[in-house]
Amino acid sequence: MKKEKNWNLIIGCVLTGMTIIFVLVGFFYTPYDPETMDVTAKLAGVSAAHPMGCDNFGRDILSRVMKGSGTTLVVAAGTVAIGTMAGILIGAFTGYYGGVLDEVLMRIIDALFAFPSILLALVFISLLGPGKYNVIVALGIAFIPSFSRIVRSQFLYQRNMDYVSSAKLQGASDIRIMFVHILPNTLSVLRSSVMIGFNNAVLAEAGMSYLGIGVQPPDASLGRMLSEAQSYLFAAPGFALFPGFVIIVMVLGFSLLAEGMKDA
Amino acid sequence: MKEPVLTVRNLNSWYEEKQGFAFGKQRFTETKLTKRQVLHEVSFEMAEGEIVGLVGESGCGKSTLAKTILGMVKDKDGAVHIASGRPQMVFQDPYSSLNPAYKIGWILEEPLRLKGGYTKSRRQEKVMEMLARVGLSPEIAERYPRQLSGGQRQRVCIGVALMQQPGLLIADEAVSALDVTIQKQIIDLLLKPHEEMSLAILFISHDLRVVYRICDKVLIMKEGRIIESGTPQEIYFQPKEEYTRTLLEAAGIHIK
Repeated sequence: MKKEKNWNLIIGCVLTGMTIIFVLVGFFYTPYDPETMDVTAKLAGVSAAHPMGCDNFGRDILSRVMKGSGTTLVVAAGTVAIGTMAGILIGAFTGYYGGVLDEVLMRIIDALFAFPSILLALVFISLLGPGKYNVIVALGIAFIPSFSRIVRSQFLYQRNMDYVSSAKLQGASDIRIMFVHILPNTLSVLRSSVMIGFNNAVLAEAGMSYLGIGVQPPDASLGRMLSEAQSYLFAAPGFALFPGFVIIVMVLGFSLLAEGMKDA
Repeated sequence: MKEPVLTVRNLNSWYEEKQGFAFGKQRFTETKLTKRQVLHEVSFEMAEGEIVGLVGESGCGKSTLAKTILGMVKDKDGAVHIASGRPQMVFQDPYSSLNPAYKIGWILEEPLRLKGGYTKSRRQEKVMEMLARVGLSPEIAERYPRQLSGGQRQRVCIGVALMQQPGLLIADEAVSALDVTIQKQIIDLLLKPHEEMSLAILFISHDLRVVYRICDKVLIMKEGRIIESGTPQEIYFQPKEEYTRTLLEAAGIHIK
């Protein structure tokens, strides 16, 4: 049987790889200082000196996009990390033990679920105040419900498998059964939801920064740049187009990667 | 008289049935629980090195009895006393009784890791010994459960069960999922440790012929009660209960 090429995985890897290289380079080198303003280059178009043009303060857009994607990526990764860790803990305990603990925690999760995650993040931001790290915390908390749901359903299913009974008979502790025996079997499902969660986090960060409650100026982030660009959409289309394009590549890359991993 | 490895006295157990309406996997409203009694006053003993067959139609509580003996059913009363070590179990479905995330070597090593007191190299030696004992080649240790056949998996399961050298093994329909030629091999494999380390086996099965061949004692179970017990000769040639007769006839064993 000839195996068909997994194009999702290939293209996903290429796009994600490009994004990561782009971001990594941005951490160490940008053509200009992303925060230096140059009045003479205000809203400059695409040129050899400024491949993506300049923004309304004459800052080099390429440099800002490079720095901004890094910020966006860090925020998304932090968000997913918080969501996954807490989700695994809550999901494992509720799914494995069931009973009162499950009922109580799941009702709280249900209540959190009733709010759209961006709204939930808004609530936490208004408590914590804006800023890069608070965005990570707020979005991370907002992401916990969906992750714990996924993990819980996996644990509910796995806990009745004979291999779990077998481990119990050999004297394995509950903690060992949960995290050594069951958890590895939930990873395939968890992996794709982490990917999808990552995408949502990129979009959520962009959305929150766009609304002005995310990353604060002068820090660059993709959403922040989109928000600043909207008044100059006709004067300097590149200002909005390039950050938007990077978001698309980022999200598309991770989506395809998640899709491709499912088939692999 | 050998000391019994397993004593079960007046064992009752209950199963909680959940009532309330369900939509797919989602339960709505608070569920009302009704209790249904599964085991009724079950009493029997197993001597060291004895093979006891437990026979009955499906749904009569055979598996529940096994689970209750092993302490996996919380809602019970009566006494279960197990003389030595942790009892082990070989399950019916060899596909779900091995952890799919780990290699066979790891799975066989786990009972020793949990028991403690072995160095890593000693554990690996023991894994290799066990693979040889259950008739598998050493390279199986590097494979995942999904890469093995049903028979091979059941061999691994037996290996896992024997790792901690139990005095009692419960085989719950351990060969029912396998085809006939493999069944015989697996049964022989179960009989080997029985002879070598006088392992007592509670053999749960609906295959009356196999039970006759290997068991020292047979228990007939109906609706959660043990209605008849005795040696295979007594049960098969002079059944006292009508139900036993029906079971035998259904299996195509006719008493002359």
